[in-house]
Amino acid sequence: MITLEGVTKQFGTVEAVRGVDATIREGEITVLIGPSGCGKSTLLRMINRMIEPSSGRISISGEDVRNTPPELLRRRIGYVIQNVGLFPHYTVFENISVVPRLLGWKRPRIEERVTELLDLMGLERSFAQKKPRELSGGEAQRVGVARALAANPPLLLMDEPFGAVDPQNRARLQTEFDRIQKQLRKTVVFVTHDVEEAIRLADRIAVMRDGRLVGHSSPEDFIRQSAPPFISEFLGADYSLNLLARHRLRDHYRPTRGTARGTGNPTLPETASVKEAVALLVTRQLRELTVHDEAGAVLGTFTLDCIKNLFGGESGGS
Amino acid sequence: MDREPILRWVKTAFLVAVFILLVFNFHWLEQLAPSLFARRGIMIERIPLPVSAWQHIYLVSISSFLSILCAVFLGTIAFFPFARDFKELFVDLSSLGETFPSVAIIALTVPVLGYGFWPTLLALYIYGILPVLRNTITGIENIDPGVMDAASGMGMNTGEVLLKVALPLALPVIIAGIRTSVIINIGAATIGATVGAGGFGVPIISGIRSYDIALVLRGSIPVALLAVAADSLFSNLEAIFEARR
Repeated sequence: MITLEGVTKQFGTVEAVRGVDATIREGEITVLIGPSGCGKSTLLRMINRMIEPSSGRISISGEDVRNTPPELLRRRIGYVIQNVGLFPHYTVFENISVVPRLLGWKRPRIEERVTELLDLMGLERSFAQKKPRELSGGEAQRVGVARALAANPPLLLMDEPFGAVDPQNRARLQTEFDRIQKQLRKTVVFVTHDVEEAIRLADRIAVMRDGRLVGHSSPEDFIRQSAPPFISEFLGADYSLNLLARHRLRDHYRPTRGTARGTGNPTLPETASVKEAVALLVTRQLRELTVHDEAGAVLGTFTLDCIKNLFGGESGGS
Repeated sequence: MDREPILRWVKTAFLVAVFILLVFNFHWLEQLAPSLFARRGIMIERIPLPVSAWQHIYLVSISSFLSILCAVFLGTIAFFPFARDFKELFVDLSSLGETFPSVAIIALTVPVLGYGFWPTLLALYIYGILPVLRNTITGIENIDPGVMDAASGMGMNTGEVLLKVALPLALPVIIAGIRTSVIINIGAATIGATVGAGGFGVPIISGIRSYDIALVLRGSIPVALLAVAADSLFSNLEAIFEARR
């Protein structure tokens, strides 16, 4: 858990970050989002002391970061940046093993760990001997993530890590990262200005504007509790629609007992996203569709009523 | 392995071989073009050419070694946060050394250091610093900021960033600076002959004094060859480290 108390950073006369108070929960992805120049990167970089706050306190698991020398602190925190920053004169193996070597790991342990990480990132083991310039943008970014994970840090700081990759590859990297995170359960602070990326990955979204933290909650809560104008404007009018991509049909249908095969409604598997289901309803001008499981057996029907709770909160209300 | 790098080294080896052959057998060239080398003057060189070559190379090596050491050290110091403000000063000072003619440095230091080796060494040393210092500083400054950010963000301290990342990546640029510095000094070292430091300047200077073209060529041809060979050698080194990045 990371606690920020009144964190402020001044560059000359400019206040980049102004009195941010926040708690970042363990094992979750917290996405820091906001327009460029809102101070999100500065805030991120204060966590591993790449930038020292002008005032305020940052603590990780209750311990003030200032109590640890910056180098030692950073070796325990994974760090991924937009332009990857792979060392061009090192091979992939050497790049990934930078932190383990700084920590004085023995060679066999490092080799084992690098192989493990290449497998995890879906990179071939032969990549270990390649130089960064032989990699594609997506591959380099995967190596960047692997390098950050090398010493198995509990905390990961990511500053627009997929920002320099083309949209298709970015979507793949996001999906992969989501899968890896489900396995590893790291505490992740993730900076982006891309709302869709935030929706895809975030457990919690923290919105920043002019150095202040103006909203911090689960992605759904921004809709449930009507967000202030700036936030709803920033998240966009189609935010709620995009949010539906986070949810699977399996959690949002009305079960039917028995069989109801002959209704003529189109069917979707339970693994499909709610966004797909809504899109299908809209394009076919329908009120309901049938949900089936992997084997093809009918599970129930989906109507717009089924997602009422998603945005209306537990108390209901249409 | 590409054929290109091999060819580069063959070229270097060829230039070095020609230089060595010529230094030990300059009379071959004289026999090849007797009219050009016909002795008109009355001066006869008393110092054999291999000795001049040794003096010249010795002078350039020592002075270049000292300049490189000093320049890389200063350039590296400028990298540390506490010395950022000195960076300009270092470059300005070494530019000043560069604009000051080496003849003037020699003339000014002879009264203190005496004739011969030492004033020439000092002049060449001061002269050789700037190209290396400037390239060390720009070489480090031009490294992808993302790489530097990642290096310190992963927990390297300033020294580790410098030794493991900054210097290795700046090396080709630093070597380019060394190349310029050494070549300038190979030419400038001929001035040393005026204060008795020996080298290829001796036949050149005496040739000029006695209107003896043959004698001038006896000094200037080997100097030119030495400079070309050194240039080729350093450009190969540059290519090696460039390829490593």
